[in-house]
Formats: sequence, C-alpha cells, structure tokens
Amino acid sequence: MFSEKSRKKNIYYFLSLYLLLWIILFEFVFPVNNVLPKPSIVMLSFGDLWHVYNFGINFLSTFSIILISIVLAYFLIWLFRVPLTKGDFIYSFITSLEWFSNYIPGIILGLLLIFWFPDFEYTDIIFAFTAALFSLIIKFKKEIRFVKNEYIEAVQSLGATDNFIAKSVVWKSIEPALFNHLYKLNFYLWTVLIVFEYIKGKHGLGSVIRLTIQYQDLAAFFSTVFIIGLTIFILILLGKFIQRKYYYWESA
Amino acid sequence: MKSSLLQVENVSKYYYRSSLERLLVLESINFSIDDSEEGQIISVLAPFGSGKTTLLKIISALEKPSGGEVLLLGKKYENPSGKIAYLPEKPSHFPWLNVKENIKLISQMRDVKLPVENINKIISLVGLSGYEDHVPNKKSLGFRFRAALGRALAVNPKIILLDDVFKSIETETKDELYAMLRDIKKELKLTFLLASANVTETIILSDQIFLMHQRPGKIIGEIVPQRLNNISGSTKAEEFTSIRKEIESAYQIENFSSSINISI
Repeated sequence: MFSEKSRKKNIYYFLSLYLLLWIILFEFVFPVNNVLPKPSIVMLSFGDLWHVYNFGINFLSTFSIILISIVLAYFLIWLFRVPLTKGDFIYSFITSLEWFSNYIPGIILGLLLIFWFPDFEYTDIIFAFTAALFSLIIKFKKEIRFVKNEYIEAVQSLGATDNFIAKSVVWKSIEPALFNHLYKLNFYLWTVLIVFEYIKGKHGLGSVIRLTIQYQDLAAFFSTVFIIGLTIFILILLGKFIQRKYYYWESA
Repeated sequence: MKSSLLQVENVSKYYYRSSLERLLVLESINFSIDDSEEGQIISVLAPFGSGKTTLLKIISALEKPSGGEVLLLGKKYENPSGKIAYLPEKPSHFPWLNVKENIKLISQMRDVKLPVENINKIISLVGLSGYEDHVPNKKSLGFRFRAALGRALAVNPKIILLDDVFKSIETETKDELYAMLRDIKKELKLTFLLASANVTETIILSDQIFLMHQRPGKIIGEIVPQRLNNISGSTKAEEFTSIRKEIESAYQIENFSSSINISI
C-alpha cells in the first residue's frame, strides 16, 4: 500500500512527533517523575556519563567486543568455507547445537561462562564471539541449500573442482544473505552482551546501565540508551553502504 | 568414413521412487554426431518432461547413466572436464562478476592466463563488445545467455550443450541469438547440441534433429533440415512446412503430437 520511501517518511514524522511530545510534556507540563526524564536533564547527563560512569572506556569495551566478534566470526567462516560447504560432519554438529538453541536461550551460555569462570576477564568476548560464530555457521548452512544449481552445474561442466565451486560459486552466492544476517546478529549481540555485562557487572555498557539503575539516575539511563541506539543506527547505515557497494547481487 | 565427435550408446537412466518402484526416464538412447570440420547445430527435439535435461547432464558427465556410455572422439567421457560445456535453461552467469570477469574466471579456475585478445574475441563473438564492464545481474535474459556462453567458449570446448536456453527469451532477441549461434558455429567450427521442445526453433536452427519421445525418453527418428539452407523464397516456406509435417507425423505415429510445442 505504501512505497518504501513514503513508509520511511512516515516513520520520521512519527519520530519527530514523539520527540516533540516528550519535550513539551516532560520539560514543560509534567513535574519531574520516574517515567521519563526531563529532556534538559538528559542533555546535562551526557557530561556526567563520562565522569561518573566512565562511559568512554565502557562504551569502547562493548563496541569493540561486538565488532571484533562479528569480524572474526565472518573471517573464520570465509577461511573455512570449503570444509563448511563440503562437511557433513560439521553440518550434523551444527544442527545438533541448533536444536539446543531452539529451546535454550543463548544468554544461558553467557551465564554459564560467568558461573564457570567468575574472575576471568575475557568471558564477554568469548561469549559474544561464540554466539556470532554459531549464528553465522547456522546461516551459512541454511543458505547453502538455496545456491542455484545452474551456477554449479555450468562451471562443473567446464571442469571446475569442488574446492573452486565452494570458494567461487557457493561462497559468492550466499555472501549477500550472510552479510544481510549481520544486521540481525549485530542487534542480537548488543542485546545479549548488555544483559551479560549487566549480570557480570564489571565493565561494558551493561555495567553502566546497572550503575544508573543503582543510582536511580533515569537521565543517565536514557542517555546511555540513546547512545546505544545511535551507534546501532550508524552501524546499520554503514552496513547498507557496504552492501550497496560490494554485495549488489541477489543472494542464492 | 567420418569419425564420430560424440556417440551416445544405449544410454538409459532410471530413478528409484521407492525401494521397489523405479522410474525409467531414458531408455536406450542411441545417436552419434559426426566430427564435422564446419561446426554444426544438432537438436534433440522432445516434449516437456521427456528427460532432455537428464540426457544433456549425462552427456556432459554431470550425471552418471544407469546404463550405456558417452564417447567423445572415441573415448569414454566420464568426468566433466570442459570438453563438453553445459548451459542450463536458467541463466548461469555469475551476477557478482562483470562480463569480462565471467570469462576470465575460467582461466583463474585452470590457473592459466587467458590472453587479452582471446577474451576480446569471445566478447565480440557473443555480441557484448562495449559491455565488458557491465554486470549481467539485472540485464535481460538474452544478455545473460550471451555472458554465460562467453564463459563456456573460454574453455575451448568440443561441444556446447544448450538446455532449452531460448525458452523464456522474447522472440526478437531469439532471432538475434540464433544468428549469433550460427556465426559462432561458422567462426569457431564448433558443434552445439540443443535440447528444445520448440519445433520451429529446431527447424530454423539445426543441421540435424533427433526426435525424442517421452516416458521414457527414447530417440524415435532423425530429420535433416539442413536442406533449407540451400533454397530460398516460397520453396523454402514449403520445405519448412514439409519438415514440420514430417516431425508431426513422426510424433503422431508415437501418439505424442499433443504434448509437443509446435508454436512458431
């Protein structure tokens, strides 16, 4: 019914409306309350975030863990694309893990890591990386089934080896879908990692949120959430730019 | 005596529907293609669902036959090596590569450098000069067919198998592609084996037509429309009609006239 352009336009109208309502109601009409903070206090709290909550380091910690996990997992999938394409054992192994993931939330693995290694510094990156890797492997395995037969048969008849097909046909066929999956994965990692850090309470944006709740600092809480949202938004924009430039073909 | 370029000997293929029931798709397919110095276009005309694709896949060694064998220049052809290139019905060019890269991919695959002049010659043969850097992703089916054909030509095959490749292409483009195919045949002295369900297409394009019926697929006759090349005008139209009638009557004898596409 609506074109993509007018749909986006509508979203921006609504966003502006929410912002306006928030400013009018919570800045000028309602008294200070615990539902939503005063916009002017939120503005001021940005400064506090850096001094009181050590936001810079914590933001960098969460951001880099997510980025490193995604890049490393993607790199490993690329590196092992041939055995991943051919390997029935890997497929069975991953399918069995996928079965667990249908019933047990991924965050449980993180909690187990905290349980097993309470003082280990790198549990967050191990958790985020493991989640990213398995998510990408499962996606890879799902997409392989949709690689067009005509691509494979045509080059096979020209004498292409299985390795060549795995590297140059299967991988390239599913790459756009795999890259598209990164948006979901990125959001998933932000969610589970923040929860993980919140529970662990040592560093990262989860620990900042924990502190804001502890101090009943609603404005700082909102500022943190705003920066997280903005970062995810920028990452999506960057992803779309890369996708348009490098992954312009339709996936399998 | 002419030697054979391709011999299909007693090829049969069946699939198991269940452990007890098997489905015979091809039954004792026998035909051979002479090693012509001129290049030729040979067609296998068959109704939809008669096993044309299976036959072409067996010839190109992409599938193993249940019985019989395929010989290329007298030698058993069992593993796909590029000597028999297969072009499927759906576009098989790679949409992530431009025309030139699609063609160069083969040299990358075989670890040999394809000379620039060869690449340019192939591009010109398939009529894509000036489009070297175009990515065929969103182009017409005709463009994509040209790109895929160019890639197949790069391996210097003995035969190119065309699996009903013109089926979804619009008529005006088809005529251009037919002309291109004839030019390539002449220029490279190359043999094409086209599987098609379109009678008109096979008559106007082929030097020789093998008629195949369905369930199970079996060769029932052979027609040589090459004689059309030497005549013109109204005689040509008459001859065309007579060839069509020959084909129709061959299928009528086999009771398969209703399932063959005879649109012009």
